[in-house]
Amino acid sequence: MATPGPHASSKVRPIPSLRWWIGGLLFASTVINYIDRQTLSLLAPYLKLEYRWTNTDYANIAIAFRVAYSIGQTAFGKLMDRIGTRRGLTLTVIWYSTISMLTSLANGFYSFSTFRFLLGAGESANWPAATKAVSEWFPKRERALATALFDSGSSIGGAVAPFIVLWIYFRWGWRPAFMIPGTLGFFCDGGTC
Amino acid sequence: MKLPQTWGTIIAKTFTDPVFFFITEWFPIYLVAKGIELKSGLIAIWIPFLAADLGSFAAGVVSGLLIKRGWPLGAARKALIIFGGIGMTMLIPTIFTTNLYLIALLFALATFCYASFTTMANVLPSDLYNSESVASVSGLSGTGAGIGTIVAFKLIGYFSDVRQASGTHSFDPIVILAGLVPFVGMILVLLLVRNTAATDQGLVRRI
Repeated sequence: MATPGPHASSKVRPIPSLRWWIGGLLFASTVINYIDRQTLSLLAPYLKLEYRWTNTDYANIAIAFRVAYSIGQTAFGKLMDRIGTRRGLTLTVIWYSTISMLTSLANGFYSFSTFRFLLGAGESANWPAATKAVSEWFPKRERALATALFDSGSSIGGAVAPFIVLWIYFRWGWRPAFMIPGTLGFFCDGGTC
Repeated sequence: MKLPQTWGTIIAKTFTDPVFFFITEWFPIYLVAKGIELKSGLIAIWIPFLAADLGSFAAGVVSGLLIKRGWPLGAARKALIIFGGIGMTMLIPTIFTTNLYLIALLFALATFCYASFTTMANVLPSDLYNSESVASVSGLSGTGAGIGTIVAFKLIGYFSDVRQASGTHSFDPIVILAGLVPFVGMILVLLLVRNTAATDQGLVRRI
């Protein structure tokens, strides 16, 4: 994943293509967001057996994510306005990457539900933050394209997640399958700092 | 809130997003219920996601082209909503097969069409409302989609457990509903989102 390390930090020098680096970064954070999110549903058939969950149990865990996510999308818009997109985005990536890694310590219905709730809260901030970043960095006529670009990170993330997550699962089991993709966010963040 | 257009905009997301989230969060469980091993399913499991991506780009391009060709804004948006609503019924024939590739293909057609529908649902607020109301209408449709998804997940969990004995058919009623709900949503959007007296009064923009 290309992270525009040196460019992003040199805000003072006008680089014509800087905004497209920003766009790429938003795309990367959306891809990672979706990989971390898809980990559970990909492992669900196996976790169901291990923890004897019914589909109703799984539904409730998935709902824990949705509830936090729905509330978060509204709540974090205001927060982003206060703290700025750069700090806001860094925080959300650190938040959901940490939670994703911590999920590898889960050991049952309640801990999974808690981690999913926290993941949903952290991940929801990505959209208000990225939308705001696009409005700050792109001229009006390029905004639709830039939004389409970062938003397509969600489907790309969803498409690559099975390969990463299941490959790790078949090799090392489900705990590393949460742990390893969770570290991706820190590489992305490293690029911005 | 009193305007039919607002309800149409909310319905456009509330009747489609839960179906997409059913696919993102239940697809692996669904495949296993269909008797498909994820290890062998890996080659097909990512396709619906890619299709969704292509669908949203295609929808943006096509609706732009239609407008360029002189179509009224509303007609261009609705053409893609109709395409999406009809296309998402492609989920229904999956009940007749347990073939991984066929399932992946039908789901991919459905997610491609979902993306067309939802891209239009996302732009409707900015087509219809003045900038001060756009955010609150989008917020309402996001909340509607959130509640819709939570209700849908409860039902999916319940019905797939109840029908566990029917093996590979345990998800049949769920995918049938998942195919029909967006279709009903499409009809409601077509009925509700149109130029009304409120348009003439300037409360909503003409489309």
